[in-house]
Amino acid sequence: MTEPSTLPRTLPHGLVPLRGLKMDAGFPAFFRYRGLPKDRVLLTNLEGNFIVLSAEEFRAFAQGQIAADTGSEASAETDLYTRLRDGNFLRAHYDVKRAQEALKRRKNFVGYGPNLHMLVVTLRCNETCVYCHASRAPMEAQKVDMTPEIAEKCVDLALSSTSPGITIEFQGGEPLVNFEVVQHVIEYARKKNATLPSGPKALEFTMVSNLSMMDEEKLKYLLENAVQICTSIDGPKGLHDKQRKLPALKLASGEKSGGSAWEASVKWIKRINEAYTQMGLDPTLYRVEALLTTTINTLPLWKEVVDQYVALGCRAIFLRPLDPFGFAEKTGARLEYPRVEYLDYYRRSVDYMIELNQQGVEVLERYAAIFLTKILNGEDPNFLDIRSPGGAGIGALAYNYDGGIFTCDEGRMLHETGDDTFLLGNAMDAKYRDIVGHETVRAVVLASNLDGRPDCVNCAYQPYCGVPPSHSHKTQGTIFGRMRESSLCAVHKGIQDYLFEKIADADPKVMEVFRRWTTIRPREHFIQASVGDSVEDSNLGIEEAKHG
Amino acid sequence: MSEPAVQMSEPRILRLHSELYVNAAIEEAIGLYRNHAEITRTEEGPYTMLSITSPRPARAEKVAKELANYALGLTIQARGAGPGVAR
Amino acid sequence: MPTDQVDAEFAARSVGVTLDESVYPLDAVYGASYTFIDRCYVLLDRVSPTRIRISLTPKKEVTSEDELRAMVGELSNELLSCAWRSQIVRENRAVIEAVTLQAIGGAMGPPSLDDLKDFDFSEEPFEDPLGIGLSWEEKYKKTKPGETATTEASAAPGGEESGT
Repeated sequence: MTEPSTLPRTLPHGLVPLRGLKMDAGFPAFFRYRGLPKDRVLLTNLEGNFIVLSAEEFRAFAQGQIAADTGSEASAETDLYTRLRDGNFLRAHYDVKRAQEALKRRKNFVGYGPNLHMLVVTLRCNETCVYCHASRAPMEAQKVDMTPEIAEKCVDLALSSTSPGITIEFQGGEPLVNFEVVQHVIEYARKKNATLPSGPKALEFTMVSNLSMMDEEKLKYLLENAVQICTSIDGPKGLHDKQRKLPALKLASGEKSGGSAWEASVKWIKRINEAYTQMGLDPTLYRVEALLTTTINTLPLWKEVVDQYVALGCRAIFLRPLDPFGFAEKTGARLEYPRVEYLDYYRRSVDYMIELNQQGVEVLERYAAIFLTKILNGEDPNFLDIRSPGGAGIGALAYNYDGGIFTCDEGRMLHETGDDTFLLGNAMDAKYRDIVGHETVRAVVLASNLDGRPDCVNCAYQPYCGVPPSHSHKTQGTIFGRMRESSLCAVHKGIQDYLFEKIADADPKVMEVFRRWTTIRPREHFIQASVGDSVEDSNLGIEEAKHG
Repeated sequence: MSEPAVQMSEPRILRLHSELYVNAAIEEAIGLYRNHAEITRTEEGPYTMLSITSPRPARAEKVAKELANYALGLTIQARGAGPGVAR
Repeated sequence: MPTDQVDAEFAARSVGVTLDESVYPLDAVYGASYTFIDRCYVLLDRVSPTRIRISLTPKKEVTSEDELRAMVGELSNELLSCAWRSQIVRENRAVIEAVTLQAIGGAMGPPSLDDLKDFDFSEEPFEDPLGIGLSWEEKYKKTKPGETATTEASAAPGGEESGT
């Protein structure tokens, strides 16, 4: 295994020595810059093109001292001039139309309404996770389940979105606890979607579940109705079970069942993946997605975490840092860590994943994939928390069990702890346009626009980045945020530093892995058929798949 | 026999500068808190002076602080996002 | 921290920051002060024609001077952030407005017939400082002696009544 590319601790990150530099304002087009290790400078421009220069090249560029003329001595500069022109970094050759088109492509999500609609069908959960941000309730709690009536109103609002496609995501608590409403939503939404005056939307369902309450009957239903399943795996068994407590259940037979959240999740991950294969779905594309939450206990186990995911056949790992919502506020003292340590863990983990990829193991890191898609492809994968303007209210809505509607799930979590800043209304009496046109939505759209945010406005990573207002509100008391003090900005900046160091090194094998990570393969199977088609015609049923 | 007079605390004085606190905001804040303490308003130069008294000194102090916060919040709301113009 | 700008009374659990309005415009003062309103009692005062004082008194018990010091630090950072943001937004207003309009407009979509049915057309929806929406007769009607002109056309452009 190669030496991990841990953070250098001698030089401040990102700084570029500028002493004696005399800027020629007429030569460069608009650019932002950031220092990279090995005396290099990254430039990005308005539309998100990038170029890596040596420190010397950077000074020549800034001072307008790069020759365009050919000549034996100037041939190196000519190459540089060409690279700069191709990247749209030269004022004399700035291609406005090209910049316009690039910017339009990056911002293609603007102009459509919310595509992600998170339904918290219950707060009840059978697991207790030390970092739970969902403000879960115990299984015996009363009146914390979404009713079918409220669910229908939520679906009506979701289908009113101007987005041509919507995803209804079942969350909790543990959504399997209120499975009847999950079923009701699926059936109601499919029927309603088929009769929309503007034509059916591309409708998808996903469920975020700990899987410990899954059984064959529920699984059959979810598979037959093409519900994408996402779960949590914190890493190897010891780590996972330490952080996610599943009480053992005493069965009618007197036996005890359960007690290991890891065993329950792993059992069903394997079962579901097996079912996808039996259904004839491409196993490289159709797998249970898993997420992890990084606590201080996770940091030294970076290799074990990656190995665990690979062993489960997962193709993506999302190395999410701890967030400040819900239980995390109380447990933060024993779970939190400096973000410098997180970034060390991130670098080691992704270095290892790159090595595994070079050995033929296909696994990607989700943050890297999101940023690389923006950097290398000039496209936005529409990850709602990392975009400008952010997705709160215009890209996503969260619906609480009681019908409360929020700009984002974090806003809903804050509501459960007494803060209604992000509450927009209630599904029982809300109108769609009033919800997405709400002054709170306008405020978060403005607050999440990096063109108006100190620090971000000058940051080289501005074309690719985003920090949601809910995080700044929780940690700093303001939806605008002070990025120098933002732990999330530190994470995003650190990840992009790592990625651009790799890009600047331009190792072809690493770049091949990175390009693979940006390939978006649509999963058509999960797009719902209209109710006129039979489920078996459009989504091959399990029984047919088993028996051919 | 007449009821003994209720002893009021020493007045707690709150000074709100007219360039920093909108008049309507002050009025609304007084309206909200007048059931919790006795509030007398006078003007002294550029300041609105609020004299706040209560049989309980701690109450007068609390009302003064909460009223000031409320008036500030309403002022900020009234001003919106535009350049500073006292209204 | 400079002693002519920052003072603290630990016994009274309060700190004050005095600042120059030419460096921190009033909007920045309001913006920064507001972020403390949930955990502090905040009082603003004008101490001179060009200087404003912000006093913060924490609502919860403060056990050390370090906590007050941290509060002053946070206020200073937020003042800087608000002041700079105010400038950035002025400079980038056009692009911010364009994206916001497209984002909200795109999300809302066009009104349905039901939305239009519920819309209250009786209210004056737009400010009209130049009186463009007024008819000729309304704009130039003769006033009788003793009457004053009270039409919107009489409001000066850019004055308090004008839209931004």
